[in-house]
Amino acid sequence: MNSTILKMAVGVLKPLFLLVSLWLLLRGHNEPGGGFIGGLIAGSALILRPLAYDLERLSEKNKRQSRIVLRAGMILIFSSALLGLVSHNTLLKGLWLKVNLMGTQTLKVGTPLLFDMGIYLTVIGFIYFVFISMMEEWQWK
Amino acid sequence: MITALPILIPLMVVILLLMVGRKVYWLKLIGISGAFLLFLASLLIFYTVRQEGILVSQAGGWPAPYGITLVIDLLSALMLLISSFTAFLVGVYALKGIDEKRHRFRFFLFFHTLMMGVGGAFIAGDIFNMYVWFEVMVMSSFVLITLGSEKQQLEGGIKYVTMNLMGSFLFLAGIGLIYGKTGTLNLADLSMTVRESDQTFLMNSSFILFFMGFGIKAAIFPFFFWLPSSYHTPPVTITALFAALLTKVGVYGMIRFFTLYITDINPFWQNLLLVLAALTMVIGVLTAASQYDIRRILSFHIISQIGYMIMGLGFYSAFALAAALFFMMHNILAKTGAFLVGGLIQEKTGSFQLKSIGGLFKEHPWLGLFFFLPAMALAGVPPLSGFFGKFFLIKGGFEGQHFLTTAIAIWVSIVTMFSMIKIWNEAYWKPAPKDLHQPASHPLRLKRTMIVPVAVLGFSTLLFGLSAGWFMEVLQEAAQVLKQPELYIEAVLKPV
Amino acid sequence: MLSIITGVLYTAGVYLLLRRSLVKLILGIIFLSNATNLLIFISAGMTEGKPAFVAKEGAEQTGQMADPLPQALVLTAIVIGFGIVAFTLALNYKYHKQTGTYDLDQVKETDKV
Repeated sequence: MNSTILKMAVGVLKPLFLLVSLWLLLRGHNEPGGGFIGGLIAGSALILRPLAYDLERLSEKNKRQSRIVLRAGMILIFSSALLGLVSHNTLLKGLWLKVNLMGTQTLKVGTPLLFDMGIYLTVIGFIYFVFISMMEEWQWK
Repeated sequence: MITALPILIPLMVVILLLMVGRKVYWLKLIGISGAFLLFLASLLIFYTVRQEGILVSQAGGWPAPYGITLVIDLLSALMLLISSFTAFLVGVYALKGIDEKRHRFRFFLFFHTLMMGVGGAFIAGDIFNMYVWFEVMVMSSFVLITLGSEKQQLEGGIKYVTMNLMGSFLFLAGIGLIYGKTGTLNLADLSMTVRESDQTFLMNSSFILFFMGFGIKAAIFPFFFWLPSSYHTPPVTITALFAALLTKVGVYGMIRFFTLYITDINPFWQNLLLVLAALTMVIGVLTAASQYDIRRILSFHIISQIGYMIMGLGFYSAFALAAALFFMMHNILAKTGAFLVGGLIQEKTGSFQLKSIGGLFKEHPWLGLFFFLPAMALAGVPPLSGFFGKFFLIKGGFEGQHFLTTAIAIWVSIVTMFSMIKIWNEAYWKPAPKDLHQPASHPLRLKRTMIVPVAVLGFSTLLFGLSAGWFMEVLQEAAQVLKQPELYIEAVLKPV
Repeated sequence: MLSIITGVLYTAGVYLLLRRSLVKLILGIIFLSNATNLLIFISAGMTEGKPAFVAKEGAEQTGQMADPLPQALVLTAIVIGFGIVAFTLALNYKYHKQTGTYDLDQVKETDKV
């Protein structure tokens, strides 16, 4: 694809997409949002640049990176499920850790966040991987 | 803690398999040791359930009617045990039985996602969770059946995928309707609500959807067409795995469901089950008699034997249920064994067609023995396992005074014998045809990893038959839990 | 209104499933899966205009919020349906590449005796 508008916009859109996706990821537990939708947005942010420019720079290396991200995500999911199993004998039990932020507020960090992050990474890796594979197959240059 | 193992072990193996990339050696090593680990875990679970009764685990720590519950009663434990045992043997066979290309495309990864789905379906404690595990299983089987993308496989895949998706949608629609009517999805809670409810008409509408959903997956009479047109397309190892697990999970779902909801004999359901069981048996066995491809004969026999299991459910006495379970377990072992021997024959002679092979008994007497055991077990010759399975079922039928269905079952069993003897005659006793597939052109020696699992499966049908008394005792305990859902309900709903 | 849409989707889905083209078969599958999702919503009862969340200040009565469970079910079903559609499309693509046809009447090789 060769679109000047998209090329111009990528520089602005990519960081914006990533920020929004992170925001969605972090608010996900009690409000609309979460790992899946965040991952989708982040994934689409990542494929914007290869979509706008040609694909010369996309190579085996990117494919390998996407696989690493995918695996890291799956390990996070697995370990978040396992933590509850090991400590409380129930699968996927939510464990919460209260972190004190400079004495004024407490931040609750727990295994659901870990789980969400796992999904986030898995979705990003998956989208990127599928995208590159499809590009390779059809040679959209 | 151990309740979640049937899901966690395959998941862990899948992640590990993803790690190693496409190095075939490591894929095989991790895949097979994972399957062995799963078998050990199932043994442990079976032992624990025998000692302590029903195991319940609430995922996430949310109490029963609200959260997702994992339940293992004796039935689930037995099914886990037998399926992981068979899967392990199929895995060993697959080391050489699946070609390098398919291994590189991660046969073992999908093998383990399939096992995860099967294990999850056996231990799920609410319907929606069961649906999700069914989907996991079905999705991995989609990939397995088309793995390698040969033309035949793709064709079989299209039929298989379409029919199974229809089944899933019907099942899901049933879940939606039943949730609208009762407001709960937990199997135990639902069972209680349904039995107190007086809206039998509304309940039956969603049960018929469930029945069709499970029926498509189990390949019972009006819904069986996908099975014979797709099961013979992938490599025989994959077919053996499917024959062992997929339809049986459908039957398991049906047994689990109908015993929890229809507590006293309801003439409508009983008649429906018995009529469909009889039709399934007859049609399966008759179509099998007209086939000349080993895999297709065996595929049609799967259908006829599903009929036996449904018949046991239809008799609906504790004894007949136990007999149906016994038959199901025997069938998993014997059917897998028979398919794998079919694979060995193909490996030896290069063909599945009965017309182009022959004289195998002279060349490989031991191959004959390994086929003889599972085939005669399927036909129901004592002292092999199939005889006891059929004997118990027929006894249950006479006790419940269902003479017609029982008579059909006996007749079907004789025709099964005919089919098995046909394979035997054509493949082993008949002199080898001269024009096709000279044995000299296939001089390859069979690998030990392919022969050993076949032998183990063959002898396990023998052992299973010889220890039928002990198994029947265990199974009657399991059926007792099925006949009295109160035990199940109490175990699930009791406060943590 | 939604019930009518569901009915139409089911009808269209079944009709498309019975056509000869493989592409229409896949469209039919998509329709059926979405019809089933809508069916879950309808049968579980809809609460219009209310989110499935308890308000932060806590003083709200029940009945003021939508039932979150069917939403979770439908979300899961959508994701599964999405995966299935992706798979069937890939299957379709492979099949077309192998045989060069979308005609379902050609798909009878495996049923020959």
